[in-house]
Amino acid sequence: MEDKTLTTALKELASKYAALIKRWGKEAHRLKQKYPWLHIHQAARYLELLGEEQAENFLATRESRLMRTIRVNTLKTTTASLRRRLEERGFRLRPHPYIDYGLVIDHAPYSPGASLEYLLGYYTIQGPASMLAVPALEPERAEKIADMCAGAGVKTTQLAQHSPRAEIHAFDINKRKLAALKNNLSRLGVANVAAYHTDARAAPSILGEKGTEAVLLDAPCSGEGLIPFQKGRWPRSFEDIMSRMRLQYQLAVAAARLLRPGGVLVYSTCTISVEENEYLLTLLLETHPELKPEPPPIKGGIPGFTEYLGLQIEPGLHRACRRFLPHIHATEGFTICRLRRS
Amino acid sequence: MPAPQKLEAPRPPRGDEAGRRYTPCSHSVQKKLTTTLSCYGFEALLDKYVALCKEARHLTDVYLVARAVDISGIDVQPYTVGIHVIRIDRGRVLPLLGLLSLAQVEKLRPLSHYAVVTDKAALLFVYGKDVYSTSMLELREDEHCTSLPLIVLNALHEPLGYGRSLRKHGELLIRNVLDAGWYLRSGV
Repeated sequence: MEDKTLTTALKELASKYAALIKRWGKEAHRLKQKYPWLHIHQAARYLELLGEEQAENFLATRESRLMRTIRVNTLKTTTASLRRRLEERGFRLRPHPYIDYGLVIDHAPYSPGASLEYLLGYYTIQGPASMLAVPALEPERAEKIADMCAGAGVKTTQLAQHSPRAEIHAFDINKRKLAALKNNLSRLGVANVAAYHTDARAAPSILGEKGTEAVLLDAPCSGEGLIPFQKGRWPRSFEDIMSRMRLQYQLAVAAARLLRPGGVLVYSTCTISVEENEYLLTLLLETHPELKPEPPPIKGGIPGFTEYLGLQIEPGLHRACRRFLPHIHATEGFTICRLRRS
Repeated sequence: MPAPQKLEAPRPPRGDEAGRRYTPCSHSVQKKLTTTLSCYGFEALLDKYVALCKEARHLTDVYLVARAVDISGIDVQPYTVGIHVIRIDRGRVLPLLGLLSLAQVEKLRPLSHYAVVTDKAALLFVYGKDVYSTSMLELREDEHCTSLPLIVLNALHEPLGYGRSLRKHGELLIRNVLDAGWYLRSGV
């Protein structure tokens, strides 16, 4: 049965959406004419969230304007050493602006996924903003870590870089992604991970409640942060957003159950929607008062949005969340929020 | 005249191995593991990692897992744990790329049973090609380890994969058994 808080919140959201179309209808239709793949609901939401000018800038930003980045595998090599090797092969690189083991590729003579250094596990390909979710968690302080929704293990292996002696448990419902995760563990030399083929909502019954010091929940989402990429350009209706929220809320509740007192949860998504980030976490904080928002120790981005659509959003999430927007930061759209269990 | 040695690349294990449980390795498997590691000079891995096995009738998969990871109290069997380092198929040991990767993390270089190849040959090797004698810079075979493939290294002694030495038309050749290019070709 759906949680009452969530049901009430979704009803409130639905009524706000109705007013949204009335408010932005004309401008939303204009945007939809310019971007035919866009859903009218989506256009209205972006206008409400970003305003006309920024909504246009966001939609106009293409993949070519974003930083292309790799993450150095510090278990095997150093940033300086890898940079030197790749530059000898004709790559042009510069430091990632926000993380010292990231490199931005300004020019690649061939696909970065085909180099010998990639095959030897000296680096992996990872988005510039996505790379910040793990440092936001500070997993090096934890002995037991859970990575819910681990996918192909890009962040899982990053957790292991930070905490090579910790016990890391990774979950994913998709077996094909777990096969890729297994390969990545092998390629990158990560031996402190146990990965489970299961719905991450079952994580507390597998690992036990209140026993995990650090939990990363990189939640499945509407993927609006990937709109600069061709694969990210598809229509999202209001119902698409709300249906994502149902699963995200359940995952977030499971993540909260895993956490031991003093433990940290980082919730991240590759979407810019407030509904799936700050609003979703407001609902979580309402039903879990033992969780407190706190600022993540990462650079870059802008603070979380706490004013949107007239929704009641926890003010503490302004500092506890960092947002990355393609048209401002030249990264994929990404949101990272940090909570601690008191 | 003895029959030519049948060479076959180890088929990297695929997909979910549900149904087989991770357990401490049996004594005989542990012995095979230790022998394999000794052949390459990687015995130190057993100081930091624990071996777990998934055993079926003719097939055993061996994983090296960091000591901190404890799955003994967990009811659900993991899809994977640690790094998959060797497969034992009908008694025959097939070392995997994960073993080389873990050795790199621990900064272990093979002390024996390896071949060093030129940069050009290294590039071809990771595309699945064999190495000819003209491209070999060093060859160190251990006569006690002939059941195992050689580790193929580039000039920087970085592990590219495994091969077997043989003679073809009188020329020494290293037949590609498994190379790091598999990570791209595996399709996952």
